[in-house]
Formats: sequence, structure tokens, C-alpha cells
Amino acid sequence: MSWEYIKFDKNEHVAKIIFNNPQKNNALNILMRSEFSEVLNACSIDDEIKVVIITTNSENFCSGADLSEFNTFPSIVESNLISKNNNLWKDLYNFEKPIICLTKGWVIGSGFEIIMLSDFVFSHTSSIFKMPEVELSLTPISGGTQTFLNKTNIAIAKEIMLFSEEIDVYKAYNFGIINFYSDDYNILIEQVRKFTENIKTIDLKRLKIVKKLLNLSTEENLYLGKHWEQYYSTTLR
Amino acid sequence: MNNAEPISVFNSGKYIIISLENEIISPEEIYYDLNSIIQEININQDIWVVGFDLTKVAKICDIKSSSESLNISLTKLILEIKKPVIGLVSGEISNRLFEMILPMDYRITDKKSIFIMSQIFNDNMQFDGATQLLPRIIGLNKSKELIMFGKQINSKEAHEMGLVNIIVDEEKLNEIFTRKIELLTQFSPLAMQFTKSAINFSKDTNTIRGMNMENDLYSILLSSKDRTSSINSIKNKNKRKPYSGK
Repeated sequence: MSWEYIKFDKNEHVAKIIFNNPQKNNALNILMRSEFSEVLNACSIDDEIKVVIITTNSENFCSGADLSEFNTFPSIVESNLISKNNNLWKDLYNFEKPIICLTKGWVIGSGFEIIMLSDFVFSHTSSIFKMPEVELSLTPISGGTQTFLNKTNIAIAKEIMLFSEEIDVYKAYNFGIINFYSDDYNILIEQVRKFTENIKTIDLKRLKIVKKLLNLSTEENLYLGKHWEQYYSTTLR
Repeated sequence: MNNAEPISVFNSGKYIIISLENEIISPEEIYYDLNSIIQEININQDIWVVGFDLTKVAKICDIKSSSESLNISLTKLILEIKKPVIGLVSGEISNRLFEMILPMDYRITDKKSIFIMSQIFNDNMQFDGATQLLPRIIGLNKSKELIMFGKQINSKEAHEMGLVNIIVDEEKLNEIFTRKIELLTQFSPLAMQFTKSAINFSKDTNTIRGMNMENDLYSILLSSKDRTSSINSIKNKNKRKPYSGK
């Protein structure tokens, strides 16, 4: 299958979802989001795939939502229902396999929120992170107000979302937003390769459960979380 | 709004700065005035950002009357502010004063400030939310160090932990404080309020429910005049008109 704004590549256990809208700096339009969702669902049911890498084939990872499509939806109610029922961001959050984002250039708005929904982020030093919503009289809609607190603290979440300031990779690393950075993109690719190579030997079921439990630690109270850990640990024996 | 000691209020139109004027503050002394100021801030659509200047305060005392103590919570008042709140502190930020800055959204201090909660050494304990608010800001481990062992930290450590957002030179405290507040007055007030509300909600819910709430707030904002004019100006490549908060 082929898509207009997404390129897909599968090599053994590693799937690559590549944003391919370079004319608009990978701004996410409606079709691109729908293609992204379709590819993600395909990765979810393909048992050969153990890890998904989300990246770009151009200079920028993602410049956020395509603003040219704004104010074109006929009804606010309809738009609200569609985004709630067919929500790519929830699919990303609930995606059971590890997701790695490999970024460079702009990581703006929904682009930033995508990396916050992923599990590991490898960034080139050219990466610029920004949440410009309040500057544009918008609020985040791709889970940003909820997922930032899963990775960093409330003071940093508010600093990023209320002040709309750009942050670089060094700050992003200190804030706990990215896992690794380098000024050499090839080194970064090699790091990601090593990382995915390690995942190759791990049992997929175990990988999914551990990811689920770790995400649960930000959702449930400690005792319920511990209960689920014991339950899954016992069932895996 | 009346300027009443020990609280003074500067109202610029789009933002308001509340200053505590006395070195030693008793919560009873300021609670009721602060409550009315905050109620007005919440209903006054012309006020977009709130600043708290606590640089003159050296100490906030414990509440004298135990019968009143449950009703007098300064942090609860600040938590009720719907608009972004920026706090300015300097010097020794200890105990109740330390607690008072925790519900603020952005904290500014100078290089020489120190932060300490020493209640545990005085047969006392936190009263105004520190055991609940501090872990949400700096994490559980570091909160335990500060609260259970009374560890003192300097500005640099406070910044690294995320307890303060920015450290500035002492002589630039007021300038940066005002600049940060004025920066926020350039942004959409409704978007700021909704974003603040959604971030705060995320502490008390699971991610998927929070995402639904985020979606609802986004949809409410779709009908705002500011949002329409902002998107139109981007599409038509015009200079954006200042936001109106409507």
C-alpha cells in the first residue's frame, strides 16, 4: 500500500513511519493524520513488528497542525465528536509496542505532542521544540496538557505550554523530554539501530506488558499498580 | 479594588500584581482581603495575568486560632485563580512562605535565595498543602528530602528541581517579573486559562479522560473571537490584532 503523506518501511521487527509532507514542513493535515492512523493500526496488528520508529525524510520532524485547514470544519459539535471518536492521539497513547521518535528541525505543536506520546526520543541538535498554541489562541489538542506531566513535572509543563517558548535539545534533555541527542545524525541513527537491535530478542508479550505497567504508574494509585504488576508477572511465568 | 495594607494591588489593566507588604505576615490578616481580590480577578475578564510579589515577606506565621485553621488556606485561594499566576520571591523562603509559592504557575527568584521547610524540627508539620503540591512539582524523592529531613536548597538546586523556573540577578528581579507578566498579556487569555485548567486537571485524572477534557476545551475555544481572528490573520498573512479575551 502507498500513502501520500506517510512513507512506511518494515525491516524484520522494526517498522518505520516516515512523515512525508516536506513542502509544508510535515504539517499534519486531515489526510496525513488519517494515513498515520491507518499505518499505526497496521503496525499494531502485525506480530512481526516489535518496535515502531516515527521520523521524517526532510529537514523538519513536524511543524504541527496544518493551519490552512483551520476554520473549514462546518460544525464545532461535529468536529468535537469526530476528534473524540477517531482519535489518533489516543491510539498513539494506547499503542502497545514501543515507539521511538527520531527528530530533527521543527518539533512544533502536535509534532511535540507526538514525541510526548512516544516512549523514547532521539533528537538531532537541530531539533527545536515549541508549543505555540496559546500564542495563536488555541489550546493543545493532541494530549499535550495531559502527557507532559507523565514525562516531566507540572512547572515545566506550564513553562512550555503557557509561555510558548522554544526549547533546544539540551533543555529538552534536562527536562526529561528526550532520551538521547547528538549533533551527528548518523550517530543518532546508529544509536536507534542498536536500541532496536536490543529489542529484537525480547519477547513481544513481555514488552507490551511492561510498557502498559509503566504507563499505568502515571494513571493508577500505587497499590492498584502493584497488584497489576504481580498479576501480569504471575501470568507470564 | 481597594489598596489595603498589608496587601497592595497594582492593576495595569491586563494584569494585576498583588504585593504582600509586611515582613511578617499572619495568614488571618490577609486571608479575607486576598479572597475578595481573587474573586474579583476570576470574574473580571479584563485581567489576564496575576503576579504575586512576595519579596518583602520574610515569614508567614502559623495560624493562631486552631478553630479557624481549617478555613484559612492561602494556597487554596491561589489554586482557585483561573488565570496564569507568576510568583516572585527572594531571600529565605521558608515554611508557610515556601508553601504559598507552590500553587503558582511560574516562579522567579534571585541567585541568593534559599528554600527550606524546617517544620519537622519544631514539633510541627506542613499545613497549607506542601505534602501534596511539592511532589507534583519536584517528584516524591526530592520532596521527602525537603519535607522529612528539612533539607535546605539554594536557588540553583531549586531551579534544577523545577521548583523555580528562572533565576535572575537581584537587581533585575522586578524587571524580569514584569517582562514575564507582560509577555503573557500578548497571548490569548482564554487559551491560557483553558490550557492551565487542562494541565491542572491532568494531575487528578487518567490520561484518556484528560484528553477528552482537552478536546472539549479546545472545542469551546473554537467559537472565540480571538481564535477566529488569529487563524484568519495567519491564513491571510495579516498582522494579528491584539487579543480581546472575547
